[in-house]
Amino acid sequence: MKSVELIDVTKTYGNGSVIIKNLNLSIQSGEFFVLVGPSGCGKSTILRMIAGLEGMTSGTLLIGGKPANLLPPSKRSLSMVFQNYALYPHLTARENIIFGLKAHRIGKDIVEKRLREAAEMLNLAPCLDRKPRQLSGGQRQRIALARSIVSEAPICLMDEPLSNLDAKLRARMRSEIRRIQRKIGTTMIYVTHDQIEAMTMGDRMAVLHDGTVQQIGRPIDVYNHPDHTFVASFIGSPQMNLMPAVYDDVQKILRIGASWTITRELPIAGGEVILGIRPENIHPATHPASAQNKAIHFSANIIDTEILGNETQLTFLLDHQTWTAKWEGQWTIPDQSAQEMVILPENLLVFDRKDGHILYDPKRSQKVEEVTV
Amino acid sequence: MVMEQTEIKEGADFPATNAREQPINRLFGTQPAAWLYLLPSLILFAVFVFYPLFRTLQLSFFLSDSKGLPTVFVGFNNYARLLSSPEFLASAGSTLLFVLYTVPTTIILALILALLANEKLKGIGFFRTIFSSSMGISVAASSVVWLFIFNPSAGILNRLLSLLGVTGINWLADPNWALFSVSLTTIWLHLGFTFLILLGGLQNIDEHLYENAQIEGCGYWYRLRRITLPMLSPTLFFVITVSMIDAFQTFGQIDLLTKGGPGNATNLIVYSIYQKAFINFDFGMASAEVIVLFLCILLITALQFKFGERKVHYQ
Repeated sequence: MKSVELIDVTKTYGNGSVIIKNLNLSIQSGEFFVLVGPSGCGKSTILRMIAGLEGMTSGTLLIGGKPANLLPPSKRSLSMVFQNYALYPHLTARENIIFGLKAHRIGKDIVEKRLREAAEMLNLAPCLDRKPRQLSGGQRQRIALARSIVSEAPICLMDEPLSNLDAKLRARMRSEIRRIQRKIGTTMIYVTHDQIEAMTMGDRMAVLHDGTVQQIGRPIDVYNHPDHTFVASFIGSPQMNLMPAVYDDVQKILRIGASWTITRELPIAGGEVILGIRPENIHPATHPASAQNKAIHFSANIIDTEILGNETQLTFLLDHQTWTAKWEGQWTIPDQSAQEMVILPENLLVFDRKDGHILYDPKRSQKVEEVTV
Repeated sequence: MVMEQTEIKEGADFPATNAREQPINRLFGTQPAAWLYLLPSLILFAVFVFYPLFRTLQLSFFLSDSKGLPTVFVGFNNYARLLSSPEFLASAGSTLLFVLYTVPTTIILALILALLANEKLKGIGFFRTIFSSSMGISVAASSVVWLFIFNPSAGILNRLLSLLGVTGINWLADPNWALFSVSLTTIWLHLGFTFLILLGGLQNIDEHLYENAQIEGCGYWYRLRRITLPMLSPTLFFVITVSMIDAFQTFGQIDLLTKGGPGNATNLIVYSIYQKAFINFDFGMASAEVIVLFLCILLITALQFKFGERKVHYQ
């Protein structure tokens, strides 16, 4: 297995538009690395540059520690799964899987063995002799996976491979891809716009926005400690509540909107900030958290409730701002009724309103000082 | 959707007509409005294709006067005369030869040009325009240009040959070269159209298929053989069928370049039909020849569909 490293990579198109700005990524050997971001953030371009399907404007690509900028795609020891699977419609599933092996004139016994193993791993045996158009979306997806597996390339690139599947199948394929990656240990670089895939599949992920990396880290760390309001709003569903506030560092008061104030000392300079709190950290008044004396109590008018099985999503208005809360259990609350709620100050994140960077994250002990400068 | 709505509205507005619609329904199916939409093309086909075809068939069983009106019914006599005439057999032979010279050459050349022009290079649009430009030139204009090119004393072909020290060829007047020369003109004429259709077919092939092959390390020829040609096969099949039919029906360049001569070396079937009908005024025999040609093309096209289409991969 091989590592992949991108150093100071920039990509601009002929008309001068910058797609990727000074990208630095270091993907370890055998790692499942997810590139996540909204459409148009350049994540597919990064993948295509690693594959060699697109050139870089500047920067260095190292594959297995060796410079690979000038290598043709076939010499980069990687395989790729495309969003539309790129199956050959005139070939059977079997021929599709061994297409590349045949081009390399690999021995028949080895081809058969690899095909059998891949087909077994993905339960493909019954549909090997059918053409792609006779197969379901999920089966086509597996053929594309099998094609990448039989190549035994140490690096596998995937470009939104699950986006054409229905929700149920997508959930199953998520764990299946993860299972296969663990089993054969390839270095995986996985592009997606779906934050659930990023959260559940990756060892680490990079959140991209407008061609720059916003944050790199383990999914849980990115979720718990977003560096930026963009990451905070992009990762997590429903998204984090973010609202403008002003911190008065003389009176030690945080003013949210016109009427709501929280008296609390924060280790930051006064000024305009953005306050963030995850929906699941807003609790009902009956929650044990409300017994703590530092708990912040407030009341709000519910405008909508959605019961999603074992949890309930509430939307409420606070100072003309729409907030979302996620409560465990099934709550039937009439619309427009006032509801007592409680939050704990350690769950409040404070971001700079100008550039969106994190100013204060109570649960993250280190790094906070350097950010507050 | 629209048609259904119309039907319901009519039914609702005029309930009395429902009973009268029954036999009409039996004749035109449950959606008579569909026939209305087909009517314009049906009328055009009837006037310009079906009626002339029927009249030709009728004429082929008659002797005719000089205005082409049927006079004496002779049954299959015209066909018997035609099939036993050495002139017709020679004509059929040279037509087959002509098809063999032109169709494969045109398609192979056009395919090579289309593969070149399909590369993503700067300024490729210029070459695409040049390669397809012969499509925009009429048979008459290009035949005149080729007359100059073929001219034995002043033509550029013989000038080039004399530069190489080769004695000039009498391109259009030498029975050994005339069919070749007409074929050359025809290949040039059809190249643009065939190129354009094939280029369109190439551009329809999903780019990802090539990218995947690139990553898997397949060479150019492997990609051409395993991806491009199979994916292009519906287009190729169309082009082969249309070019064959076109070649069998060649007329304009013959009339302008050789008038069927020298001897009968370039007297292709359609030209011989023209000569029979409008120079010898033997409309009955000409009609019989038309029907024979029609049946031949029908047969070849049917065979193509039966055996060629197996190798075609529709998506």
